[in-house]
Amino acid sequence: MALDYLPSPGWAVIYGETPSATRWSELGDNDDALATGAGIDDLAIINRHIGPGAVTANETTGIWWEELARTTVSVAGDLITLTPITAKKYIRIIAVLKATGGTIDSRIRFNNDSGNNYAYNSLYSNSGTPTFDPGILQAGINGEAFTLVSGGSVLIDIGGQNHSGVYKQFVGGSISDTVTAASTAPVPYTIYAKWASTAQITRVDVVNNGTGDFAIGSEVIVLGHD
Amino acid sequence: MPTITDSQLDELLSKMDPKMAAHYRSTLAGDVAAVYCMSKTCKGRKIGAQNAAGQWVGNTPTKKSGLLSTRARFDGHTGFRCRCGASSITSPAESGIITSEAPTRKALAEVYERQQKNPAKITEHADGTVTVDGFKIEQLRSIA
Repeated sequence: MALDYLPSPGWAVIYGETPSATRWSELGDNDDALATGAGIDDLAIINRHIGPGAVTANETTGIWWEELARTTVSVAGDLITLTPITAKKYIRIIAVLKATGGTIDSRIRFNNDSGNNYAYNSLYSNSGTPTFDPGILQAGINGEAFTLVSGGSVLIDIGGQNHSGVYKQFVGGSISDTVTAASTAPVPYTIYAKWASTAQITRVDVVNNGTGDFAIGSEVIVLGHD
Repeated sequence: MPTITDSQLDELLSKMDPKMAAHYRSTLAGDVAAVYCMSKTCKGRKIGAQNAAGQWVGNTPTKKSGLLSTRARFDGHTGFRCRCGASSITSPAESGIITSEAPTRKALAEVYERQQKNPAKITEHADGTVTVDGFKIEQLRSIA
């Protein structure tokens, strides 16, 4: 009979020891429980089983985004790097950036390319009237409409294609806010961007061009799928 | 009810496939020996028996008493482990040397040396039973 848990026998055999029929039976029960999956404890699945790169696309039929990389800031600074990232045909970047010690003005770069190989068209609103704001020959994809003062935060969520042999295209946006009451609307920002490179993305950097730093706890996650 | 002697059973089984014969011997033939745990918990309770095929088979165990495993020790005795916690699985000379790993030649040399100085605790009783390191073995009949 398959158990719905693995008994913790708390015993081991030494060299030459022959377990009794009762103990063989316990081992058989364990095998049955493992075969059905019922014996796998909730805490048995740990990070390395599901962490970046552990689960391939073939094993995730019906499951889309797989986490490829994650970096959480532990020391305030101007650069958040995620590398190496397994190249997937589709990519999504989610970032929560918190400003400290001054302003933040974020840019997203790929494969450590700091050249003017990025272009975007963006749409934002600060006072109810939407404004188109294109940018060409940029050194990164802009993260938010306005620089954020210390204490403010921004949520960036952009997705794109990461096919080899073509330039990369992204669509997404961000929402940023200072620490204000609910009576103040946050600032929306929609962006359509490209990276003029045919190489697949294997590294993501988020760079701060403001006067402050990304605060401790700021986090960038890269998801992917083939 | 017709009965069959051990010698008749042996004659019958000798014509069978050896593996099947061993199976029938283990289920049909009478016990060769019995083992009793002499711990304070078990108080001399019979915990298992050796069948004609040489296998040690435990009694129906209770919560705190019952044969868990056996082992052929390097001093020639059979070691037992009981559910009550009592164990003679390793001899005093093997203790701390014999583990789950196969022993090395060096380990065996140490066991050999220690067996001379620290042999098993054996008590031979008047009724013919023998107690080895806390487990009493009663021979019921010779192996056919």
